[in-house]
Amino acid sequence: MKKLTLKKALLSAAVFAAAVCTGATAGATGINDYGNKASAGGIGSSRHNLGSMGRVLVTTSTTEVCVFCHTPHHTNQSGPGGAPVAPLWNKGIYTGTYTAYGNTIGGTAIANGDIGSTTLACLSCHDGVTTWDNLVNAPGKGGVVAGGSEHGYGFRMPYSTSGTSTGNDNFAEWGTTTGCGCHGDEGGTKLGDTTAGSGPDSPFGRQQNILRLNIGTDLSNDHPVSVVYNGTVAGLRPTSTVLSTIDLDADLAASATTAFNGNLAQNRWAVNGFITDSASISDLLRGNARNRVECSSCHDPHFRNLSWDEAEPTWADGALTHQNLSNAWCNSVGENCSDGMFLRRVGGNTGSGVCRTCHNK
Amino acid sequence: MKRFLTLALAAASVGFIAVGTASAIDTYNDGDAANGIGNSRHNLGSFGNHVVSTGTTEICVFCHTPHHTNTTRSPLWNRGNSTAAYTAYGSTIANTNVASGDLGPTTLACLSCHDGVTTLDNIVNKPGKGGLQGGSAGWAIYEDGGQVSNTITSSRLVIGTDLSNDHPVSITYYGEDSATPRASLRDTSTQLSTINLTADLATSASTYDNGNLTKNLWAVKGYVSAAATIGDLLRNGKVECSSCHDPHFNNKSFNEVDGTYGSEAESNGLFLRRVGGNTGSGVCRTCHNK
Repeated sequence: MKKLTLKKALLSAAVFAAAVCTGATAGATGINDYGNKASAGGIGSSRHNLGSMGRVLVTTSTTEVCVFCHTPHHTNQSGPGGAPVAPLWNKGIYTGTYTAYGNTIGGTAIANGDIGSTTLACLSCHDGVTTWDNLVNAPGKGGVVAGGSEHGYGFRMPYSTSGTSTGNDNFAEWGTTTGCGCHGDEGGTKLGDTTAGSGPDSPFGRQQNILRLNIGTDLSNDHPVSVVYNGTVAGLRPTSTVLSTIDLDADLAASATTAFNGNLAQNRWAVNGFITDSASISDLLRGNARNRVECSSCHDPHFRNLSWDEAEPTWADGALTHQNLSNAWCNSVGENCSDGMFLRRVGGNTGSGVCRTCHNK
Repeated sequence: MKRFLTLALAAASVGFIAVGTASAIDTYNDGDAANGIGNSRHNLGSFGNHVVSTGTTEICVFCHTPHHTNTTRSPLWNRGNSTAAYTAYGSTIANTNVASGDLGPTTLACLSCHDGVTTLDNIVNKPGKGGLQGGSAGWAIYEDGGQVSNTITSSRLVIGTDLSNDHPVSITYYGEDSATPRASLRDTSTQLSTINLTADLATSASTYDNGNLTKNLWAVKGYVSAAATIGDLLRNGKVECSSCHDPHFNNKSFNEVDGTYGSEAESNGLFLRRVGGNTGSGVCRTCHNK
């Protein structure tokens, strides 16, 4: 790898990713397959389907997909000011205090109490504390507990023959040696990582490091959320800017225009559940005044976005096996088990296209 | 590989099989009447099996009357109006607004029991020659032999007067065919039975529960239908309670996680219109193409 030029490395990475993508279920895998007005869907086969028919990390306790986040009735009302957590949230909300980003260099302050409903929703799994089976309105007639309660579900990889312990039901627990320890920094010895405490040193362990997904309760080391979008700082474009008109390849090498099927020459985003070329930056903002950046400004948790060449596949490809599995991860589809980080931008963050859509740096 | 999938499926099924009777999805076919209210929780007459009143043997009277209906509700509504004000959902993320004054007659009808305030015996045109005095009939309500409140008290079944914590109702459906499509909603002309609900799921989804997710029959206009479209579920282009629920349809076609009364045969399948209920979130995903 070191002997390759960067360009060659990128090319071979792209070829590798493409080869793996085409190996399994039929589906869109390039930006041209994600056309204007197409539904931003695909949650069923993404990591966000925790139901028993999911493909990545699943429970055996219900087939329902939506219930792990949403319910049509009795939604959680422990949002800011006692308002319902949007949209139609069905998970318990952390009763402790999240630490917000604080002050930006541009002088925008975000206090802990500013953290908005949409972000609280995401953190109700990604804080590493709240369990995945902490639901308000259980499937079917399982009952309603205002504020949510644990339901004793176990979670595992779908092809696993074990690992349904109810103790392994949040990101932090999956990442500790007492939980599914192989998925965390510790590594342990189960997967050939014999260097205790120093993090996994095998490619296998590194790729399964689930702690990447654990945002935690301290948001001071994350891009500010629940922050007012201020067009006079951070090189932020006017909120009226139509996303598809933004020129993302102007300053780059000439090859940027055509790379990856013209990834940077277009800028469609998934907005309101559909891919669109007419949305503006303001459509990505949330809060009562529709002026704040939240998790959902960059991410749509339903949008399985395989439209781009990710730097790394999410899960190891089918060649790798696990002691507790009767087969490889994710039905041996490797990169097809990726979700493109649920980024809203068709083309993902190639050329930092997500960042530069708002930041005109 | 297939063998492993089968194993995974078998393991996944164990949790469900223990709960109740086998799925009866194949006994609900195109053209069948969507019925069964007599044995359901929605029969409040004295011949009902669950929550009953001793005041009358009539069934329909708790909601409908052939004459002197409450015209602010539909259809042929026989219940009094709540004295409490209702709060609608408000604004969705995609900026569709539902104001309290927008609540439609079909939704208001459901709320005339499920608001938790209006009494179950608040009937406009009383049975027989009972008269048109309106208000509570003063009947005692029993559940499993014991007298209970004459309003709904179960936390699961009380929607309440505040609808801001429920799926928006009386809300315009902006499907893919609209100028401003929202929430990944499918085209209103989509035929329900053609929707593929298994495409993104594990292979086991195709055979699970006798192929529950490979069928998508809904009870529409009183009959299980293979021809109905999403548009048929809307009322004046809007989603109402009745878009998902048919209060007459004792829907035992699916393996719910929990039975209501300890015996799954006594369940009502949440009165969901979809044959197969919400297995695999089939109800949700019929409209939302997520």
